[in-house]
Amino acid sequence: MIGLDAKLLGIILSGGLTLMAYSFLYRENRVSRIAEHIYLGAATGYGAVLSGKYVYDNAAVPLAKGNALWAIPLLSSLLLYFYFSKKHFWLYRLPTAAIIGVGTGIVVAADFRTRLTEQIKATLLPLFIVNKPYETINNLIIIFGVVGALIFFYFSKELKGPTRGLADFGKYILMVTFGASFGQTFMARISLIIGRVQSLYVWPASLLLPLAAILVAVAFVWDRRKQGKPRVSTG
Amino acid sequence: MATEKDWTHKLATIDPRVIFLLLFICVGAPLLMPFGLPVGISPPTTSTYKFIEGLPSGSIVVSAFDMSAAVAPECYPQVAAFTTHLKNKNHKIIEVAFDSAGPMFADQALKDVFGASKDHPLYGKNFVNLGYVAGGEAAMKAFAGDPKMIQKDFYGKDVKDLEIMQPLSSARDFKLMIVISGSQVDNFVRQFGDPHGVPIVGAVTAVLVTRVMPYYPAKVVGYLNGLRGAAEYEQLVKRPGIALAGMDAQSAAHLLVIIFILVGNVGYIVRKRRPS
Repeated sequence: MIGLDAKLLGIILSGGLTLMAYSFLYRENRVSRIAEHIYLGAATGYGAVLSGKYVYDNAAVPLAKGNALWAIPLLSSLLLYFYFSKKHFWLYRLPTAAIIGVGTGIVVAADFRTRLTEQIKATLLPLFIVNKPYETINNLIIIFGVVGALIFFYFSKELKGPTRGLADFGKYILMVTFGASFGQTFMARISLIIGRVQSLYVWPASLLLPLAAILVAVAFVWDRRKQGKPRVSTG
Repeated sequence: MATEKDWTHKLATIDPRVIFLLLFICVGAPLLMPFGLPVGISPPTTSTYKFIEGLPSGSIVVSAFDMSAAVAPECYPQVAAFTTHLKNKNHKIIEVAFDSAGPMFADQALKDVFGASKDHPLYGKNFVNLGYVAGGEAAMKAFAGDPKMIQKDFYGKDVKDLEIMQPLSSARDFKLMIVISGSQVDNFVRQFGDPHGVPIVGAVTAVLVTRVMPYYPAKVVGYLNGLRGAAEYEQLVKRPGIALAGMDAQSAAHLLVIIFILVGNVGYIVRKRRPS
């Protein structure tokens, strides 16, 4: 019974917070701010607790069991708190340097392969494939699209003739890419709205919908009377 | 010059809240009364399905949750769909999270698909939720080198005692890694795909798809494109769910915005051609 009640409460809270956040669409207000702050606070708190648990399970417990090596990363990480000390700020730099150094080392070497050499290899495609016209067209678009986009960003010399044509082709490829990205982004945003609306249709969160509609109507009439016409949302 | 009574002026000064309301109606109405528009299945989704179908039964598949709550409406239906497929094919599932919100969704997926998570009799044998691994890409590299570096799973059980973890020595033992992400897949290709040869599938948000496409099909064997990808996969595994239910709303909203773009451009062109 308690579990069921907690589930119902969760649904109502989720629906209520969704509507509170969406009230921003009518205009900036304290209710949407409260929902925003609750989200940020909950997400940050949840992340901090899980991170703490991970460090406890994987470093503090082995240290307590006698694995002294774990003292090195644990003590080093404590040096990060010297960020708040003007006198000993330099101590903060030691773990920061290690984090940046290790992070960069891990990423850069691997990234050179993943995003450069492997991508170049993937672009080395046959210009003509017998009996496969669509694959041939795709390969031509990829090869000339990549070369054209790269030439488009070549600024050391004025582009003329075939290089100008290639650069133009690269420009159109880039424009298509931006268009596709915009379309994908729009689709993603609509998906998020769909997810929230689906959650609002779940009983008993659906009870909140007429309540929200009444509140918006009251706010609209209130605005009309107060100012002659409603303020336009900046969102 | 456009006057206040002119239709182009009215279009240019329309209250954005009218657009929000129309959008809400376009999303909300089809969810209540679906029209059942057909949803075609794209090649990357088919590739994902075929790859999982082609794996021998009992293969170890890693679900890497690099997702936050903000992308759950897009990514969670994907997770539910492919986890169902993995269960149907009797594959072994290792869930691990590189975002702090990940374990929560990993747990939910086990409950939705298997009926229970840590209390299920097959927990630790056929599936496991390793929880959140802090440290970003450095943690990924460490996990790829030794998956048993994690001491405790999400529920506090000793990882070294779990049967599913016994045969693992490095990421080379993974037959597939499904990356659930709203931020990037490059880091997974860098740390798992290229150095260890792990085939990768992207279960990603629609925003991320244009960044996944350059890796397909050489590095990423397939990908699910946001909510649409989830709807496609639900059809393939014959488990219609919330993603498929949302596709009519998605189409209606897109249609509305296409109309807005067309009308807006017509208004713009008409105003531009008028003598000032």
